[in-house]
Amino acid sequence: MSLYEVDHVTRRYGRVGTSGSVLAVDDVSLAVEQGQRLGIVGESGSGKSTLVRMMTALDQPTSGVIRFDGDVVSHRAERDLGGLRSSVQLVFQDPRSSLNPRMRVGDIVTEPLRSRLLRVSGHVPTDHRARLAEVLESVDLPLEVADRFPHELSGGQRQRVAIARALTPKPQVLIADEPVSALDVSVRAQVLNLVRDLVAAHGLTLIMVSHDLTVVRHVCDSVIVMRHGRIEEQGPSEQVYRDPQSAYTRELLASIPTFRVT
Amino acid sequence: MSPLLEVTDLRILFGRSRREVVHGVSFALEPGQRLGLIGESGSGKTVTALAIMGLLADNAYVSGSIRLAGRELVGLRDRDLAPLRGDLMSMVFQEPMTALDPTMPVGRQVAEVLLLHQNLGHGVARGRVLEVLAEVGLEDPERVADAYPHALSGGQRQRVVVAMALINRPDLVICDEPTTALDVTVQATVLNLLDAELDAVGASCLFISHDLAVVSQLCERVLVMLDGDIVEQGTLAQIFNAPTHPYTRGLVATARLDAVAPGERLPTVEDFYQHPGRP
Repeated sequence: MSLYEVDHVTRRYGRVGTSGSVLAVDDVSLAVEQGQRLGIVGESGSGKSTLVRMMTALDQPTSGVIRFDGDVVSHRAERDLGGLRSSVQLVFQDPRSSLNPRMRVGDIVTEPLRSRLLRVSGHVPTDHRARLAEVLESVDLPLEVADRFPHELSGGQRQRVAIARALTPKPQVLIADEPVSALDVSVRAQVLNLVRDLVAAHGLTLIMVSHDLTVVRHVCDSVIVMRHGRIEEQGPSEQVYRDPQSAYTRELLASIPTFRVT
Repeated sequence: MSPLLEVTDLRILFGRSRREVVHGVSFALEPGQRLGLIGESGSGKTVTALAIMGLLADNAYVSGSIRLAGRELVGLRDRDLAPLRGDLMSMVFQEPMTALDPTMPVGRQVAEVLLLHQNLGHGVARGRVLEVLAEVGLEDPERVADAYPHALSGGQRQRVVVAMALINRPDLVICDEPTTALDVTVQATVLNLLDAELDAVGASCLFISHDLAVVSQLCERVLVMLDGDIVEQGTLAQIFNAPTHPYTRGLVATARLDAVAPGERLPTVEDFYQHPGRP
């Protein structure tokens, strides 16, 4: 049994036949195994974020079923999602908007531990101070940042805080939605190294959404290329990077600016 | 040939405390040349560009010299500077959704730039606007001209902004991260467009980016800015093959993700240069 099973999932926004109707995800099926590092690559409007939102039960499929760890998680009441919520954690693109600007870093990082849903599902650490120190250390941030506000940190440090927060409840799966695209190129490498090290150290399953196949190639072992809500191509990331089969994947790869000296 | 733009000992200070964020930078841009300005967030790239355009807020203090086509811009009153903006020099901003007025059809916004600087009838202006919109690769320019910004895609909006920047054939175009907010495939087409249009107009370009790979698509020379200083400048080949400042070496290494074998640790700027006073 796979850890995640996405079974013929479709998501349509708006009513069928009306002008506002959009097929964001169109009959997608995929499986994610325990310990896999899956990259989901595509552009704006490809459906990659909608797919991830449904896999985390933040959105519901119009048709199809999503299972996590054997349990159906689509169209379930929030109170029945404790297992999913404690096992799967998200890191978003822009930490400036995903971190609450009015909370101190320490409170942001330990907030998942105060969630009732997560506490009743068991497994989550109970010693908040100790866990805070642990996760800050694992993302290479000094304990002093716990008393700071997000705006006092640099972009790279803020994204480390977001990653620390995701690690706090000891999840099995880390889902990162464009974790480096709001960051300077010079900071990108640091955060990617960190994600890779953490995934290895904690035996995490990783799902990383990105528009950049060269980034995905460094962190993920397999990749799905999405376009117009469908899976355009899939395979081991190195193989898709070296020898893309679909014309669209080739176009995506060719569009990524590389250092060119003439 | 004398340079089109000559910046000498430019200092920019902010607020009552007069905090200095740009510490006396000097550089020159020859006519028709494209100069990349690279550095991380907070290094002073954008304020340098805004100082040239005369668009800094009232709490900014600028000293030194900025000469554009022989004219000194530092100390000029805004009413003397305003006629130069959009005519002699123009700017392409990062986020076209905020650069465009959401309450006005984009054709009228492009026409406004034209009518501010040239005495044309509205019919003539409309014709010229449609021409320029077609030039920047927008299909069906009539429809685009009558559309509001929200009805266009990100790439279409940025093409409109490029059209606005180029319609008066300026001598200098400043691009501040013009493709950072766009999808990769759209970024590639907008970079190609800028490349072709800058050539067609014969404009010089100051191109700001944090991404050396993007800069290398368009520019022949590069300035590297760090904490308010220019720490290195040279041709792209010099910067690439023989960077002298450790920070530049770090930038070059991090810009080449494709050169690292998968699974290997990626090089970081800190491997080469440790920022003083930062953890």
